[in-house]
Amino acid sequence: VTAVKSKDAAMNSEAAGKISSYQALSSSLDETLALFRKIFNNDGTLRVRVIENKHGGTVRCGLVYVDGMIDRDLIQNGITRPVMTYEFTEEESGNPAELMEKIRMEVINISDIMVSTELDELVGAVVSGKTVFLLDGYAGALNINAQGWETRAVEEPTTEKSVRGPREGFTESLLINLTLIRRRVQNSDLKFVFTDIGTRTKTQACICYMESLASPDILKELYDRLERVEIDHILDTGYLAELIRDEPYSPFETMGSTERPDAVVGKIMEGRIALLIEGTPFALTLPYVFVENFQASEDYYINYYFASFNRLLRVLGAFLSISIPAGYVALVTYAQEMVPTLLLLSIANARLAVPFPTVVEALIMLTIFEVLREAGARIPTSIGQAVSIVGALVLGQAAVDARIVSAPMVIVVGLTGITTLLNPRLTGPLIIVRLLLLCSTFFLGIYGYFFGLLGVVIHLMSLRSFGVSYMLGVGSIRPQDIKDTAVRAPWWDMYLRPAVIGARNMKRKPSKKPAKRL
Amino acid sequence: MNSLRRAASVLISLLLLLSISGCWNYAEVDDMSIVAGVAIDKNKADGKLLLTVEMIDSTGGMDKTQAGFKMISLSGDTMFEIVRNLISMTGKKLFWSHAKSIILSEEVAREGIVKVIDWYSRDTETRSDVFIFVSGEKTAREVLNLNSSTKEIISFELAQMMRDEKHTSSAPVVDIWEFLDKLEASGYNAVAPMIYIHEQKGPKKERVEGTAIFVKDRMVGSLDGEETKNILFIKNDIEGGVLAVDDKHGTPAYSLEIISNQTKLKPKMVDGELQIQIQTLTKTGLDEVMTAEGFLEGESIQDIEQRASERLQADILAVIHKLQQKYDADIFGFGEAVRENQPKIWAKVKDRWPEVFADLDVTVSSKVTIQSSAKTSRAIKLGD
Repeated sequence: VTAVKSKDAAMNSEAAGKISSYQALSSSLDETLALFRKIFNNDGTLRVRVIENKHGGTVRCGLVYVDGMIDRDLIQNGITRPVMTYEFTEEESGNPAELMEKIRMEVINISDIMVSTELDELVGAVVSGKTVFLLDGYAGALNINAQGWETRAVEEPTTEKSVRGPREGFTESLLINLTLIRRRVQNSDLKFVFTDIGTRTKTQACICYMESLASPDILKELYDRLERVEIDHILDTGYLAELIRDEPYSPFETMGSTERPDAVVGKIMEGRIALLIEGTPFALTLPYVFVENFQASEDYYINYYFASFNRLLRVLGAFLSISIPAGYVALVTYAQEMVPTLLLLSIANARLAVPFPTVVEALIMLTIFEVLREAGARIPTSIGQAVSIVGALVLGQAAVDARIVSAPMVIVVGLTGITTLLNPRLTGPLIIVRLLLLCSTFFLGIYGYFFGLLGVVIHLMSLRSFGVSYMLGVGSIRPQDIKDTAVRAPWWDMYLRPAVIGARNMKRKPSKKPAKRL
Repeated sequence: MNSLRRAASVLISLLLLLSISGCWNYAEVDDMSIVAGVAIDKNKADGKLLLTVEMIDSTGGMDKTQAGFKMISLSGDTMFEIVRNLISMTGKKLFWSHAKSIILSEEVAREGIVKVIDWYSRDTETRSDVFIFVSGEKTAREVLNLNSSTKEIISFELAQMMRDEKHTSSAPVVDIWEFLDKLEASGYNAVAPMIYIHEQKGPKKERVEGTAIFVKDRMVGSLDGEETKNILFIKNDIEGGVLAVDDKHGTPAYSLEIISNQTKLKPKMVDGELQIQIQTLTKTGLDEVMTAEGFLEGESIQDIEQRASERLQADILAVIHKLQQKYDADIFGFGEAVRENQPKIWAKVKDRWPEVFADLDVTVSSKVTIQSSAKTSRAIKLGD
């Protein structure tokens, strides 16, 4: 049990910083343990254990670890029992340096074990869940990896479900996630480079790529950017994505994020780089281009006609979701002559007695939809039904009956909402672009709509992700450039990796001939 | 500094946008009266133009699926003056882009229609694909007023009729732009369909049949439905319709449905005289045989074809002669054909084309072929 000292916690952390920086490790066990206690002042989870072995002379050892981060069975069977029961000779007990070596080599029964004399390193090891083994009379320690904590089981990711394909999703444990990737690529070419991010949390991050595929330039750029990151803590890869992305003010993501190991592996095999951190199931992939927003893992597993159809639906959905409200406002308030006569009549009939201008009506309904969407995402599932009832009945039916909004507007907003849901990765950008187009349309009619659309296209064209043009493949007519964009070509035809990203080794397979029929 | 400059330029651009958006035609649909059609008459009392507008009356209500209508009339000196003054009666701006029909009274048409039609083709909001009609009744407004008994929007019905006109071929289909095009062309006279009120034991109904013939912008006369069909043959505008053929005793017995028709119009110099040669080739299907004997009485398909061809040929010639002698109006575009095919001759005759047209030598050769006999090859045979 750690002695609790009546010192200010904040003061203490400052003190701990100083101690770890300047103080050398003492050869006295008691002194070292006291030092640890001092550093971990006010930390109730620190455990300091002293064990003795008196088979041949007194061997006093100390264990320092943080409770909850270690595997107790492993410490018991791998450290305490062997050390307590080992029959040391007197000669051995007299020489701490040799004794330490013997304990490391012959007594302790744990695979991952290192010698360390740096206090800094040892403190770092203790907070990361490792166990520090100290020996009285020796100014050094063993840094034993007996980590063990509860992790969530590998489950199907809820954000990216697929009917066909692997059902494994990442968990919050970095190591498990790396395992999930490694199991799919059994090749030493797959590299995992560790680093830590966050000056205070020291969160572990892992850069993951195929050495023979990933572009060294992009890799170097990634390292450079990670080095420049200045942040004290990091809880999700979303922090990183914002900190190291290109064009920080763009609403469009220039780094991909996925919960699926198969998606990560797929991207790594195209020459992309993945970035995972401890504590979140979301991996970043880069470079990330616009068309990836429309790609789902399942596309690659199912029949390519059907997959292409689904892709086209998503592209159409994205387009409609930004265009429907703006288009409706443009047609109804500016270009009535373009609406078929009968449709115009029914719109005019429905709009009668609605007090708001069409654009206000649109803004009201779009806001209500977003409120419902946000509410649906946040509330506990047990009251989820209430939201749909409120949404459908109160706000839809009643608002139309009360003539606060017109029925065509409900259809417009309903279509907008549904089409947005087709592209979960684009939800945010689509909302922003939609409002932008709606406003420009309100000012300038159809001209304004196209003006806004042009602006969006120019913006997209100007974006880059780690030096790769964001609109890569869009607008090209070369079959190998568009093989995996709005359509998904059959696997036997995708014999090249994506341009630029896979430039280091373009050939995915030697020939473009269809697979031999058996 | 640079970013400040950029922000300033963006701001300025946005402000400039506002200025060009200024008085744009922003309007809510429920704030305007949608015009369906218009009838133009001459006011008896003061001789001014009398405009009757059929408008959509959006009375609202979710359960109401069919739009209502209302009519207003106003007289004035010029079209635009009337149209603007109408706002003071409706309270809402009139929206002309969805208007489908213009009906002119015969009186207005005979006085010359440029003065009433110029506004319509000049204004930005009106469309030039609106259908034009000449009322065969006393006034044009009584045709629009039929809506009080039919409960339908007459203008839209007329537009629908025009779209289905190809099945009957009894009236020309004329958009206002086409009409103006013909007015301006030399070697071409304009036509417009005639519209009547049809009353036969039951509710009154509008009926489009026949052709109003214009010389310059004045109406000079009209043709009936049958004659109109023959005109359409000459103009190669036949897309459907029925040819009735008599049997050998002279009673109507067969109906031929026109499947397709091709007319070739060739101006030729024959013995130093300009001659127009017309060849029609009509493919038809035998769709009705009004006799129990069928073809067995020695009536072969060839006989029917022969008789149909002869009759069509005679009818076409008759209508050409009527136009040459009675109206001297080249509504077939013979002059245009001469200009295209014999430009040198056209240069000589174009200044006195009306006189040339009146004496023009026209030959017609028609060929009608029967390609099928619909679902059965035999006539209904009477049993005992």
